[in-house]
Amino acid sequence: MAEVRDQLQELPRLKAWLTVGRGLPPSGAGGVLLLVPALLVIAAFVILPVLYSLYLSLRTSVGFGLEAYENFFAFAQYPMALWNTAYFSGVASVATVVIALPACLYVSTHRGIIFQLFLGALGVALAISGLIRTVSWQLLLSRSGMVDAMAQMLGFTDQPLDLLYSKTAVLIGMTQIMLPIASMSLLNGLRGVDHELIRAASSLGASPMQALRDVWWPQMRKPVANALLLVFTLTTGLFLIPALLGGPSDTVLGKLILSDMTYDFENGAARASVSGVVTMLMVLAATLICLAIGGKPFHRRSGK
Amino acid sequence: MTRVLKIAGGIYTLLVVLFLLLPAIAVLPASMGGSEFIEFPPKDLTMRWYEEVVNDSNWIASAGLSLRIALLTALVTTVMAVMFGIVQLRYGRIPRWALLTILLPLWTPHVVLASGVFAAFLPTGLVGTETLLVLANTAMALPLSTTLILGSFATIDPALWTAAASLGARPSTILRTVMLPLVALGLAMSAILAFQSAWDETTFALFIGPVLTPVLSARMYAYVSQTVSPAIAAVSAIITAVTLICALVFAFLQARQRRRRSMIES
Repeated sequence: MAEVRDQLQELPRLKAWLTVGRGLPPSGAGGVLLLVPALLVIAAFVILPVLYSLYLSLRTSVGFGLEAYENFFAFAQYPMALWNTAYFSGVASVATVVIALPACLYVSTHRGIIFQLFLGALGVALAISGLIRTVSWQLLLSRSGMVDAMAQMLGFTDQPLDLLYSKTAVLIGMTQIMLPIASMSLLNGLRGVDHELIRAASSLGASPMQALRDVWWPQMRKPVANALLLVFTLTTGLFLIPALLGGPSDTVLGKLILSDMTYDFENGAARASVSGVVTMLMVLAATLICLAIGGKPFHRRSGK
Repeated sequence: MTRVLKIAGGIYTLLVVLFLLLPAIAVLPASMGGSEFIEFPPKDLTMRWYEEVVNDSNWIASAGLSLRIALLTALVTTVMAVMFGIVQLRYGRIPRWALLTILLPLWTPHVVLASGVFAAFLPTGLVGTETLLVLANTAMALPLSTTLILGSFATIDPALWTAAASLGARPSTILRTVMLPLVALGLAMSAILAFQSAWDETTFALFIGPVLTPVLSARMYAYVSQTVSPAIAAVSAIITAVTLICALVFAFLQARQRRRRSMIES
């Protein structure tokens, strides 16, 4: 109660701050009050679940310990799902960036209509639900779907390719679904690339390979690393694509978290928490790798 | 040499754009096939899957629920983001730690958060309620919406507030008549983004969403994890059409904002 009364006493102060504003020091409690609702929501739905998962994963029947983690590696399905998650996310993030980078480089050298059209296409692709894009890949890759029909019509193959429910299907789906986000991130980062430097290098006699290594790469490595990390983080949480496009052996940790949490009332919470913490650790490792790839920010030395 | 590179770059970019957009169009032929199974090309064209979906009260109920949750999320998210905007306007900047906290949802896999929320809120009996889902969706939508709104507020001259206040306007009057009209386009864009992210959200919906009448995405997931059918393709086509309309409105607002900014600058 006393706390509530304190906050109520704060209200006239908040009102005074809102009207006169600039007179009050920035450390005043009034301004921070406006930030509280959003921060509370983030605390409840981001910070609390991570900490609570950590707590659940370390809790044992007698106290605290690593028992749940030992169990995690004792059941064959968990390490396999861990490997699948790392494999899908790793390959998909590299594939996405490799596919997106040339297009983004091409577009970033243009201004005006080409740039706007590309952004528009990205926006539309991003707006269409990931679940629907997964479903459309199910339709495309199914035995009598468009991809098979096209391949047979063009004479690539006589047999149905039977791509659906395989690792290839998962990787195709993941790459396509992550492509717009990765492109947005890359385009944003590539805005800082100085194209004059590249022209300068080639006019000074640098071969295309030299220009690529010494001029392009130092400027590009930061955006590339950011895009890699973004795709990796997002795909570790995407269990829908492997569940819908992959086969029974392509299960990922997210799927196990869902089934453990919702079907196993006895040990499910502990198991799911271990999977969650392991996923977070994997993202942390990826962050460190991407920081190393990103290197130090590149600055043009001359001029300013 | 550079010419060849340029043409190759153009063709490659076009291919990437096709790869981005074509799969979404694939649901159309699949949804109009007369057979019970997916076939390409469809033999006889029919609208009966659409009729079936529109007359199915389950799909309609889920769509209504999704709509309500997405609208509420858009409202709550935008109000919270505007509060950040006000602080930025009055203090000049937001504390760095607060900004970093708001961006946290971008750095954590949603499935980890959803399972943690499920476990933590299970004893409270809130799991399965619309309120909890709206708040979770709000948390996930906050990073993008807040960034967008802060960008809009950054274009306002802080002296306007002082000017209005010195003329005797109360804070609520200043907000209503001076500040919010200036950022109206930003507000609309942030609301659309939040709506879209809540409408799309599947992970939280599966973990903590309502069970008896699930939201649209959760119901779709339940269907497609069993079978791929033309009816699902019809549902996807309808949702895609609605989404494209939203995207067009968003693009229109963005173009207007850009035009207005260039007018202000010139």
